[in-house]
Amino acid sequence: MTRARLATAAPAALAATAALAALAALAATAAPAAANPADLFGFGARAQGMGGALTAGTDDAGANYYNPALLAGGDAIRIDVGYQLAQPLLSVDGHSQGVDTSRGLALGLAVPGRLAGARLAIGAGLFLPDQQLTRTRTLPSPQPRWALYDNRPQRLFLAANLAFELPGGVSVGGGIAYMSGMKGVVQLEGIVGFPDPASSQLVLDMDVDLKTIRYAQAGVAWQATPWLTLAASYRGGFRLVLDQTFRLSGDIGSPGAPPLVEDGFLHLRTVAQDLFQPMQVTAALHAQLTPRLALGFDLAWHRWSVFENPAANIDIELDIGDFNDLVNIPPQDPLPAPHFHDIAVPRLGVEWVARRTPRRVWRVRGGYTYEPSPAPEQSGATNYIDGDKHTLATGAGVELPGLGGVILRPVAIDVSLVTTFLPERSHRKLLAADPVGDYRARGMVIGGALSSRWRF
Amino acid sequence: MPARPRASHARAAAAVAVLALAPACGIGFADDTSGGHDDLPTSGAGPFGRLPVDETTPADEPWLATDRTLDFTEPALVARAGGGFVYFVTRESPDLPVGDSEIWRGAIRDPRQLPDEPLAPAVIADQVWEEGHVAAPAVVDDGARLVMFYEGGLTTVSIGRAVSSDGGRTWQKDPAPVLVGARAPGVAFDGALWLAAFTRPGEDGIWLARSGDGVAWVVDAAPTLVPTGVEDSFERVAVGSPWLAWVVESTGRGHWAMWYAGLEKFPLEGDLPRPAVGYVASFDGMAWGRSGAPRPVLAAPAGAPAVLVSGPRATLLFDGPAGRRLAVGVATHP
Repeated sequence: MTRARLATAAPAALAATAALAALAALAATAAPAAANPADLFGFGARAQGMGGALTAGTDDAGANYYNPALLAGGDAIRIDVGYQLAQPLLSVDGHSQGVDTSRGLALGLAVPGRLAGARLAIGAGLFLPDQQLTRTRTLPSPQPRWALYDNRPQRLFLAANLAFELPGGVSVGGGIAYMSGMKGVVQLEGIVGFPDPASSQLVLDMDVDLKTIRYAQAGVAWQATPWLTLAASYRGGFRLVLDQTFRLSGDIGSPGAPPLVEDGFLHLRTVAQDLFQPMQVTAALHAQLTPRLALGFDLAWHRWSVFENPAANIDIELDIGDFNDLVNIPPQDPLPAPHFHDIAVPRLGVEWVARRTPRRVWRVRGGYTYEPSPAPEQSGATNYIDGDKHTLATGAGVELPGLGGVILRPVAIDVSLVTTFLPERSHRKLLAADPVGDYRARGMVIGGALSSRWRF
Repeated sequence: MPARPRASHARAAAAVAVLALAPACGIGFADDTSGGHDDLPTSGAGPFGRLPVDETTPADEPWLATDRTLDFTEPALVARAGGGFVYFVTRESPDLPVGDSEIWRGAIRDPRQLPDEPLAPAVIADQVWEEGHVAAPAVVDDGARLVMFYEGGLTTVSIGRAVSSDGGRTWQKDPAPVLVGARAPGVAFDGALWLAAFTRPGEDGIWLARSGDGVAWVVDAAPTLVPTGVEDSFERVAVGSPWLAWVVESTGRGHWAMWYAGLEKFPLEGDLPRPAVGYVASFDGMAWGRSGAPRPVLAAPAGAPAVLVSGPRATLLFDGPAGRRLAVGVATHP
């Protein structure tokens, strides 16, 4: 909690004005939908290269994201270090929207051990954006925006997991992932100078909390046959709420003179859903079809139907005595429901051992993902632009038996390149007088990753 | 067999480390300037903002046409090939007789700069029925030529028609008015139907008329838009000065758009009215509506709107008081 107390005259009045302006601007805006960068672009180069179809097939620290149960499968300490980026190229009516790049370090850790004879592992996964840890950009409510690409990739992902191996080839794992929300109050008390604002004497209090949000993730995997693994995973949903309050109270007038307004106040509160992640349940298989060819298939269900309008709910109370009749603050129009719907996302990936020598194993990968849009055609007052997504992925990797005399266990280096196509989608408005009108939206997202996987 | 130290391994490891750590040190691959705010679609419904004063430009923002001795009012504009727009205004001398007016033409590439073609007379009252009064132009580019509808006459105010094949510099008038008992026209053409909005002397509201050729018109039986009479409404006591446009959106679908001046209260004697600009639209030209609460799209004082929607931007010309005279100003969206 940060708490500051200032006692100033003119600067405080300016601060009050600035704070009021900032909060008023905030109150009139809305925040876009979101989830996390791994949901959009995958976690690690191997997973990216296989279209993310690794809920049953990950064998590295990427299990911290895809399926914690698979952390229990290794017998070495595993550290993954990688970097990944994605550049959306999204346009509306042919005009680029300049949606931000998502890029950052992807780190993973898995540490195995034994408890009462059973294998277990602890792990942690981290996506660390190198632009900002998280972004909470708010936009005016009706402003068209690529809802799933605005805030969504611009945040930290952190998860800690624990996994056990059970008899019968079954392993289970789970953990929690973290985010933070914000709740804050800005309070000004004193005399608001009138007619000379510079004569204001106000005391400023700020009380802001960064509140932790935790959501669960879990997984189970079953080695059904030597060549087939079946798995399922669960990733909890969450809403991150921005709760901002501004309170200005005191007299209005000149210091030392009878006040024009005694005990006036302005209370303004805005509550907005800033980040949203849908609950996700995935069923998957990973099949080693031949000694050289492996296939992964995921089918995920994303619960977007509970997504709420992210625009700010605004509550304003104003009392300026005899001047109340001069101020008319209309009530806020009801926020239209976004009417998102649940989606099923199939992912298919293959991995082929292209060449095996005593000192190198070369692999190539490919994948395809189809993610239908949870957003309906934007025919009403909202403009949450999205479209169906077809992702083609390719990748390659080399596994070395070690590095020099220092790293004696295998080291893998992987690269991936993914391209997501969003075919053109037309949005036709029901009202001719809609201020935005019809538009067409399309785009693509180009991404890639470079990862190294280390075993100790 | 245990791995042997090899120089190539060390180089590879160093390269990987550099690639992994460089971004963390702020070395990025792509620009990350925030986006999503520019070039957004618009239907022309605003809200509009007057051009802000900029002391570094030669223009007198927000004014486009202003003069110390003349009134410039009732603008019209059409897009100009090659950029910018051609605009027309009513020029009226403050001297008597009242109604002794002309229509002047100018062209400009950027309203923050000086006009490429300064204002000059384009249409003067040379027909008998005009009685020395031509005003309130509405100009339509039908693809082959410019068609102007304008107000003329004093005892029987009517709407005349003229065409131009040289970008509005010279005009060929029809010998007789095309709509009698009508004034302040706004006209648009969707490729098949001509739609005219206008007011009528002595009657409230904005009326519509339809035509297949822009010459023979059928007037609706009742006004399409009337004052609301609602307290605090910006259009409580009067609506007028309509501007019509056929706006084709990126999906290929079009709609009729109407901007107009609304008046909350009549001015006291000697005062100028303080209209604001409102907006309604229709897909079929029959059912008109708003989006949301009836609020002005350009705040008072601003009257006689004329709008050009071009891609993600819209330009609105209006008239209003500039010092002691009336002038034509520019507002834009976004």
